[in-house]
Amino acid sequence: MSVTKSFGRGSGGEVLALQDVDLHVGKGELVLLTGPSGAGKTTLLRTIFAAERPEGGEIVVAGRNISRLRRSSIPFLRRNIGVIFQDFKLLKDRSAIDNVAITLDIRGIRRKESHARALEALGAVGLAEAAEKRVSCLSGGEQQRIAIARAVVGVPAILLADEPTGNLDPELSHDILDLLDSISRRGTTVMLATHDPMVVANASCTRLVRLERGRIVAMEQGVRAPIAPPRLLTPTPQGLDAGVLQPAEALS
Amino acid sequence: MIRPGYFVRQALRGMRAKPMIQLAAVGAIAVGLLLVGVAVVCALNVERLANHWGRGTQLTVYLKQDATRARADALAKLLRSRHEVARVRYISPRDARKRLGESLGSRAALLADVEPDFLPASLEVELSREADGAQARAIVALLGAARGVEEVDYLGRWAQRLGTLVGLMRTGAILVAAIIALACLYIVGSTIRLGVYARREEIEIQQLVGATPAFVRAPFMLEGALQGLVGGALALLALYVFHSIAAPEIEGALASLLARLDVAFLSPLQLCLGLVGGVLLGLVGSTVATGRYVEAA
Repeated sequence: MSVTKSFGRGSGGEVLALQDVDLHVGKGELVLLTGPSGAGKTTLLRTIFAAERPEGGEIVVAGRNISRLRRSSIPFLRRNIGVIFQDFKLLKDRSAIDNVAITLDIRGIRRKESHARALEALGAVGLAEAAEKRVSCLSGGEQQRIAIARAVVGVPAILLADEPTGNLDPELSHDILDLLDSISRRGTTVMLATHDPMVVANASCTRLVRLERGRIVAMEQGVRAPIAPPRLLTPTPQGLDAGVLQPAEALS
Repeated sequence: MIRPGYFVRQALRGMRAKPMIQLAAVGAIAVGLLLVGVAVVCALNVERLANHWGRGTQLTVYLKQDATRARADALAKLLRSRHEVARVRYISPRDARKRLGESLGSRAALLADVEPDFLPASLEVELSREADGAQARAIVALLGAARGVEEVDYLGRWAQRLGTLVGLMRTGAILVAAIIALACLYIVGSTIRLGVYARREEIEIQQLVGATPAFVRAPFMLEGALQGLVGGALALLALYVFHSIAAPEIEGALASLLARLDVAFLSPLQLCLGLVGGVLLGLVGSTVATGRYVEAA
């Protein structure tokens, strides 16, 4: 991708959120986007799933330029991109399983199957037992894991995570990072945005990209930790065995 | 893949989640349709009343002074050939004078020095019971243009004025119904928008995970259609109750003033149209209400 994005045209002036960001991410990579607040990390992720349109440049996913995608094609792009939002974006009055299954419901998958797969995804993040609980009754950490389960249940080719550990204690943060690492090792491309130095220091990644004022100011090779089964997956390993977290080969 | 079951579940879930908003939407639709229904029933009955008054009417065709008896007979023959005409009677100037004298009673002596032929000859025309106001007006127009006719008196032109009035009332009723329907659409749209606003987060999330606009809209459309159906049924029920209460009163008042006339209610077809109207109102309201949020993503 090579993109430029600005906000606030008009009397309030213009802020360049992204300036000539040029980045190529390979399949199965885990890229860590770092930088202070306002650096453009979230905007970059949002342009990838077409929540923002870049003014300049292009974003190519699996050989397809998505920056000029027709509006009617955006839903189908999003079905291949899992997103973990900083504020979770969960329906608080619904059960955990309903929140995860929504990704499959919108594809027209039958309720029984969508719930079975949602349960597997919840099992993969260690929340199978909380499947029927209302989201509002769960802790921040549990809600974050539901958001992860929802992002991966559709078997996306790309997983975008915006501050996925922002609301978690250090131990749980570590578990979430392990889980994302595990997902990436199975072929899903993961892009993780964080401003947390602890995450930057501890996360296993293939590349570390630092953004400041909308520009890439540094890019370095990351350190990938030795393969170890994440602890979150231990209680219900059937989730992985059933192929819940196997990524799609390509966008279709 | 279309999954009606999913959409029905979502629609019912939405309705259960915000019952007061549902109630407001159903109420707005019911009140709006009730007002439209009242306007329609009024227009319907005014029309019936006008037609009723037009029936069995006597037309008086005054002939010119120089019109011969043969011309009068020709006109009478022409009138008798029309199915709207029940009876035609020739009144000679002398007969007319005699009638006038009878109507004056004790003051008939006033006519003593008056020429016996001072009144014009005329034809008294009785229209058949089936003839309505429009047909009567057509006969009047025909006679007005006929040779030898001085003037046509159609209930002293009163019925014609009534016809004009009925036309105005009909147009007015249609206008009122249209204005009410538009106002109702606005209110219903605003009320449904409240429900959509309460679920904007759900709409946003659905779109973020890849739902198409049609998928997001479907439960709201279904919800709107259900609200419209229930609102429409309630409006028709209320209209029926009002009709049952008010009709005998109105019929009683009319009977003492004019003539016996049953105050009509809507036909089965009109009732069905009322329900369809409710459903359409709900659907249009939902489309307008969801538009902003669905397009925004």
